[in-house]
Amino acid sequence: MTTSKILTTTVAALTVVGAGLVYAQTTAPSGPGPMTQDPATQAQPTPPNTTTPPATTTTPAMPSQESTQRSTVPMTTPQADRN
Amino acid sequence: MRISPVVARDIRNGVLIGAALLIVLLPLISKVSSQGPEAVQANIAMAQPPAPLPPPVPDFGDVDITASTRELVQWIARTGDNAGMPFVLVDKQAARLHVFNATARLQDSTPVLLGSASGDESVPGIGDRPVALVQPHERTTPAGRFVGRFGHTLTGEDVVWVDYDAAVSMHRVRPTLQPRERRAERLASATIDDNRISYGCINVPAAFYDANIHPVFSTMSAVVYVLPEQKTLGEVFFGLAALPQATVRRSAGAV
Repeated sequence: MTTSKILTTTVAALTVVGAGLVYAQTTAPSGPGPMTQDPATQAQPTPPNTTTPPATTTTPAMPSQESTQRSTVPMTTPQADRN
Repeated sequence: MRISPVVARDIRNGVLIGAALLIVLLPLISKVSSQGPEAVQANIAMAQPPAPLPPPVPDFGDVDITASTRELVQWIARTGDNAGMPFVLVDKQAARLHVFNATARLQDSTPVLLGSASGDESVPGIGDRPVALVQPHERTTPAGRFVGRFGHTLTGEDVVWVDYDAAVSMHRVRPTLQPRERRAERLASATIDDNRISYGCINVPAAFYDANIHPVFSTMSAVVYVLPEQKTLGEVFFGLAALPQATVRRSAGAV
């Protein structure tokens, strides 16, 4: 009697759970799908040995931008050089 | 067919238990399914810190370079001071120019002509003066770190501006501008002393410029390191000075 009671209750519970899951799966809004990128913004493979910043395992020392000689001004205007 | 009240009660209890389970399970399932397996894996991957890449190992090939050049390149590679850019290193004491790619691999090397005066600074305002008014003792090639940019002179010639304010550029040697200076012959000679003839600019053999300088700087910025001849490396490149000497030497050996 007890086994029959447990079996009946379990079957009923599983039926409800299964039906609920199926319902949720079929009525859920469609997901974003596979991740795609706009071709214009897709990351291009970096050519070896070109512009990849070398990662370091240690904290870089003070960059030498602080050196005594430096130049960061725009250089678009033609001018005479020192030959 | 009639269902006994006892069975009906068991079924009702089962339905209630199932409903309770659904309330718990549905939010979890909907969250996972909305992300997708790729997103779940990406989240797991993002939770793990990326393994640090080792710094590039400088490669000088079979070119004979000075100890100062080696030390500076090893420091550049170790600290990433070139910020991912190719770089050019001018060794004034050896009167040579070395072109490296972004990972500190030597691409090519050449003799160069440099400023006739010894010194690591430019006189203030020298860039605003006509070249004819630059005094002999002022004809220095300044030392330091510069971001070189492709540009032009007033004659339309393409050059790489090293220190635009001081009018210091890197350009093809101009053998016909002052023929008595014999610049081409000076470049071709094996001696170093006769390479100090310019007013501060870095003169490069034309073929070398076309093959190694122009292709790099016409498409991107690159760093130009000019080694000092009077100051120490540490005085010019402060980051290098900040490192304990023992660290520099040990690292140089390891790299």
